[in-house]
Amino acid sequence: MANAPGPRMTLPTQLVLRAMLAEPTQEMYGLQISQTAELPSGTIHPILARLEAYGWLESRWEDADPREKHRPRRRYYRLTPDGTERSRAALARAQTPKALLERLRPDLAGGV
Amino acid sequence: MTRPRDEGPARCDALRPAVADVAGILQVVTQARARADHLNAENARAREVAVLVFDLDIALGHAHALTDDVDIDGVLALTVALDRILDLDLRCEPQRELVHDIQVARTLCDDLATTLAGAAQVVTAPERTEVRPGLLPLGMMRAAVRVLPARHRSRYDQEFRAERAELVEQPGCAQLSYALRQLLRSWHLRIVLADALAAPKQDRGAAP
Repeated sequence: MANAPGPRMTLPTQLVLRAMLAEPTQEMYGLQISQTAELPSGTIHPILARLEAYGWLESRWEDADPREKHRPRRRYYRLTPDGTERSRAALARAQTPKALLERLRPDLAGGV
Repeated sequence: MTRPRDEGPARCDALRPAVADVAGILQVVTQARARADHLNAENARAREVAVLVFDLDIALGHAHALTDDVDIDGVLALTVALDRILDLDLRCEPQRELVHDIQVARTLCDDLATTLAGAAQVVTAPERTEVRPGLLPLGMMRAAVRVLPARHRSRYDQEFRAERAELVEQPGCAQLSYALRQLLRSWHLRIVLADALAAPKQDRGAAP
């Protein structure tokens, strides 16, 4: 399963996956992921949508009352078990030079 | 012509290979842009080509900026722009040469980043400008949501508004920047969502 083809491993996609693999079971919302991956917010949602379409991610609405929180509900994303396995395999195959990743996210460049 | 930001003979020597990389990048991205003009006239998927042309213009702008001042922030900006183009997943026959150009430029960016990392380039943060908050971010977000397929609008409207609410405590420029980025990338998101609709989840093992 981990060897099945998946989304193209662009640099932003790798950064998103590395950010999520840092805590694979933790749910994160879009802005949180973009801040963790240090990517512009507009870049995140197309990547999340593609990963979700591939079944690597799953998402759900926050269990909270918007009136109590004084804001709309967040959409939380989490790696699926299959997505976790396939992400790790895809990142291991990715050819991005370490210099680039270190410059972008020093704490994520060491591996997942 | 490409020049290092800081003086120093040793650093200039270390950066010398970067000049050829920048020239190569500019050449192939310019060539890709010319190919996109050709596609624009012939390709039936007008929206996809419009996004491609938009992203290519951004990439070309970053490439031109590198000829004035080569630094790793500029290379990273160009790298992300090129990856966005590759992320469009262009697979039509006439687009293959263009994708090849982008992949060549992407490889040159990797080489350039490695050169610059070796030269220990000093990076300075861009200047920040304060922008007063207002209705503009809200209007931009609404426009971004309207671009999306109808069945996804409600979800992303709520999702974007929830994320914008996180920025309330930050300066107005943060909200404006957030809304502008969502608007600029909304066509890209639309394409991804449309592709997801066209390819059911049971086929997701196939190449995207």
